[in-house]
Amino acid sequence: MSVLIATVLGASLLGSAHCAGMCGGFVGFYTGTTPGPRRRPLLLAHLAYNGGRLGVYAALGAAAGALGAALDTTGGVLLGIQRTAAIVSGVLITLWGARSLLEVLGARVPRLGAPPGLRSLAGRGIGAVATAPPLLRALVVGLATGLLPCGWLYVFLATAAGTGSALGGAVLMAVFWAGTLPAMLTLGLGLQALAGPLRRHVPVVCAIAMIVVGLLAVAGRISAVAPGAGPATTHQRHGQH
Amino acid sequence: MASTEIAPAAPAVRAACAHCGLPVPPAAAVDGAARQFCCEGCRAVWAILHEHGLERYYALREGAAPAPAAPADRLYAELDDAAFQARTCRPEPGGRVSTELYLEGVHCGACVWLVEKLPGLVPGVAEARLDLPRSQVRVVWDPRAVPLSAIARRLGSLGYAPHPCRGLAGQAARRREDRAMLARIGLAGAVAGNVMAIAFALYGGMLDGMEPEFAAFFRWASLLLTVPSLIWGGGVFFRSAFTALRAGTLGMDLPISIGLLAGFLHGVVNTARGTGEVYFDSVTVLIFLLLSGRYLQRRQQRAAGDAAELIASLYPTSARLVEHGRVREVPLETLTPGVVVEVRAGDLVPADGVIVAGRSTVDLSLLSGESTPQSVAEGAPVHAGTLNVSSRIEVRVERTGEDTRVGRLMALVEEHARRRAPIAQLADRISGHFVAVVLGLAGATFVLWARVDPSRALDHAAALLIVTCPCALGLATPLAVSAAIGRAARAGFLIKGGDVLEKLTRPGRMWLDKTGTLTEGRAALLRWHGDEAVKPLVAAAEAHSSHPLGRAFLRALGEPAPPARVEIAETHGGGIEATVDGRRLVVGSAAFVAARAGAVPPALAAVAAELARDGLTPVLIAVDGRVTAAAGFGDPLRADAVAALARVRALGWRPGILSGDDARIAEAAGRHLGLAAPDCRGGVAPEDKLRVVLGSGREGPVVMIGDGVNDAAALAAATVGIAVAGGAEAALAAADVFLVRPGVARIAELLEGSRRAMRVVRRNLAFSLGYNVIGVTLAMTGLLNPLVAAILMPLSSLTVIASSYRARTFDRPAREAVRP
Repeated sequence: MSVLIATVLGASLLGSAHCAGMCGGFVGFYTGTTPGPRRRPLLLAHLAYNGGRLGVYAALGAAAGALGAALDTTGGVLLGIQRTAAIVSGVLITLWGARSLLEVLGARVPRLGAPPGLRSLAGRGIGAVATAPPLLRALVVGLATGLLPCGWLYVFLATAAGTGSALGGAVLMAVFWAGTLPAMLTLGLGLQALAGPLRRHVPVVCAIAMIVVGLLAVAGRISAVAPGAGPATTHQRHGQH
Repeated sequence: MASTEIAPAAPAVRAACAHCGLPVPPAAAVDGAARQFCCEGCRAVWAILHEHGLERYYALREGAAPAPAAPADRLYAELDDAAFQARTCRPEPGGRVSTELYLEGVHCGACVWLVEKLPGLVPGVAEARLDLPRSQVRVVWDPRAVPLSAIARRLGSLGYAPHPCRGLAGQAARRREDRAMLARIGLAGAVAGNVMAIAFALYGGMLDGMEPEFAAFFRWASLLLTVPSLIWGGGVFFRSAFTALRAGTLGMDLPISIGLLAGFLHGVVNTARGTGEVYFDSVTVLIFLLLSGRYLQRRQQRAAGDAAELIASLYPTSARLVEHGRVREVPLETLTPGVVVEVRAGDLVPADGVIVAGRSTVDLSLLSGESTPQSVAEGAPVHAGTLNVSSRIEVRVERTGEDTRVGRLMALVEEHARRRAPIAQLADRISGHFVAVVLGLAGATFVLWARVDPSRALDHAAALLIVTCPCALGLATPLAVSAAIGRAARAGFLIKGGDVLEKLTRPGRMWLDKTGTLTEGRAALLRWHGDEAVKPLVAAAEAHSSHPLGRAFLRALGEPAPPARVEIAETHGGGIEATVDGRRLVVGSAAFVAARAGAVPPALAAVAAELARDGLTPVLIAVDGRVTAAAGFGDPLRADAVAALARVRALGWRPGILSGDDARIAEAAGRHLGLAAPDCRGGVAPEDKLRVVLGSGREGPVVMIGDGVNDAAALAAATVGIAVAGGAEAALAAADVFLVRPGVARIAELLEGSRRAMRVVRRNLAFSLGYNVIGVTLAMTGLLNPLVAAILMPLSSLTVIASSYRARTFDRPAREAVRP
């Protein structure tokens, strides 16, 4: 489990530069002040935004983990493969990472669009609170973030599914959320400029991180239980009672 | 490399995502679209924000990359700027142009090999020569075929970012490179320290037992700490190895990179497994030591390169600028033509120019070899690098830096200094195979040990990869040679080419010009027969003559007391007729005097014949119609000639004289010097000298020593041509060595110094080969720990560096103390 947490945290930190870039506009949206050098940070609003994100991510992670558990118990028995969820998710993530890497290196790869319904839902929600107080705005935006077509997010949801348990999935997404915190909180403090020369490498780094995570999943390090003990072992224990 | 790919076209600046500012992958860019996005997520968010009129919040991203994102590749367009090229590029024959660029990331012989392949990689480039200690490449190319910016891009893609190297831009690039390296070393050191502390805990745990959670935590902690050091610090080696692979060669950093990666991955696997050894402490300490070693190596190289930068060693670093009546010190680089500088007594003249105020004497020995200071006054030209001896003068600057006489001279020397000595080329070839052999041995070690004791196989293979150091091998020769040439330059031996030192160690025939080389080069009054009383009369008459013999008379007889009346009639090639205070004087050759003053008495005629036999020029003096005295003039041998030639012979050379002077004079000189008669040839015209040199050349190495201008053909034809006089530029155009200071002893010093230099080279090569053999043996037999290997490896390169630069190959003369 520690492998899992460390890997996810690390990957999330590395890729958070893009998180800040993509979602940075929303932070400005809920703080509501005119952009300029002096902005009084609204602590509660920030907490609401990030709390909303945490809630959404954890919920999604729990759902994914439950899905994975189902795949393990049913699919595992059906197909005779242990740790199905981990393997499936690992393969998916590795493929996604390879695709990203190819894209960065200049090859033409197909882009995966997001379901349009999600986007319009997110858009309507955000538009609805455009004139609401900052706190509400922050909360809604935070929740809506889960609806955005963010490939990075999907990778980690797949990893959550691979843990094979709802709790494991939720914990994993919480760790992912923790990795994005530093970038989101320091938005607007000008610290982005420090990372300037390194921004070029963000896509490559993300791609490689995805491949690593995917391979680890396939290698069996991302199960919520100790390696080697899978659903089959759990069954054995049942059998022994 | 037979690749004919052209330099990459100016790469399109990568578009930046209109939303988040990160670069858009080129294949994903939609041609013609007004906005590009790096991913669907950004496109979606952008759409949301714009649909709802929220786009003003983009300003929040003031820290985001300024549009556009920094281009992935630099364009180097500024190098094509006409004004820049006018300042920094020099025209060459055939319509070509040459310039110098400072390259980042150059650190070893393999880089030289790679960069010098440029002509094969970029059509239009005729030549590329890299000076390793100073990381400067001299590129000769045809501007009609390829622009400089394209060449620069190609160099950049090979991994060596070019910068203009003249003056401040080069300095800035060097400082940036240094700072970046120091930052890396700092990080590597900090990480290594922390990881070692954790390793202590882990080792303690192994002895006394530690709960698995703590052990796991420590392992993970050291892994995470190692990652930045590996990526940023180790990245230097990975990039270099990768670049070399891309260019189709096995670079010297490949074994190091493999060793680092192997150690790191081994640790990662064990950390994930939760058991087994982790070597993050070795990896991080290794990175730290390797980076430090490389940094020290570069600094030493650069220090020696700067010392060998002959221009710098001959100029002062600052000048005293006269502005509106006030004087202030300015750096030398800021002088421009037209300004006036003050040169105090004892200062070096900072630039070529004309004296506008004051009069003084200057020491021109740098340029002409003449140690007697020459008087100069207003309107007289002075040259950079000469010493102002007696009083303060003000000089209007006309030419500075590399345009001065001395600057052009040194440029000539530097250009040719990059010629590679044959032994250096041998070392390069060995290095190429070296890496392949090392990788093979490492693989073999791994396989063999895997059978015996698998847990240690990786350690031993890694130790082997780490301990073998091709850098010492690749550095051994260039460093020693360039260090020796630098020292030689400061000692007054300007050597053009690294191969010269090696050639001077193989003895053969040595032909010396007589006049000026073995002799003082000017006539001196050596013997006087007859009436002493006429000496003052002769002095008075010769005071008005500009003939060399007239000057010689004056030098010997002293300045005359001013006579009442002197009338002179000089006949070219004959002599001088004068009336001094009423006395009629005829001074000249025997025929001239006999025709004007009557028959020569038999006694004096016999004296004259004897003088001629001894190789002196006889001059008869007649007063009032009677020949009363005979003087013998000769070009005296230099005081150190005999001893110096003995030293030369002791080194195995066979010296001989080739002189345009009369054969008897040449023989007489040869007798004095202890040379056999057939080796002393007089009456030799320049074409004949060339023939003799070519003839000797067929039998073995031949060295020709002579005047740079008159003996140019023979100097160029010899194996090594040494010029001792006559205008330094012309001398160096034909010869391989120019001796600034006069004296035959210099020749002996040059030969002995070359021997010492080659000894250093051989010592370095032997050391580096021996070190590698011992290291490989220890590693293969399992006696070497990767950590110990990490310490030994940089030590070996540092030893080679120290050995090259501390070796006293050429010593500076004591007179240097007077220079600032």
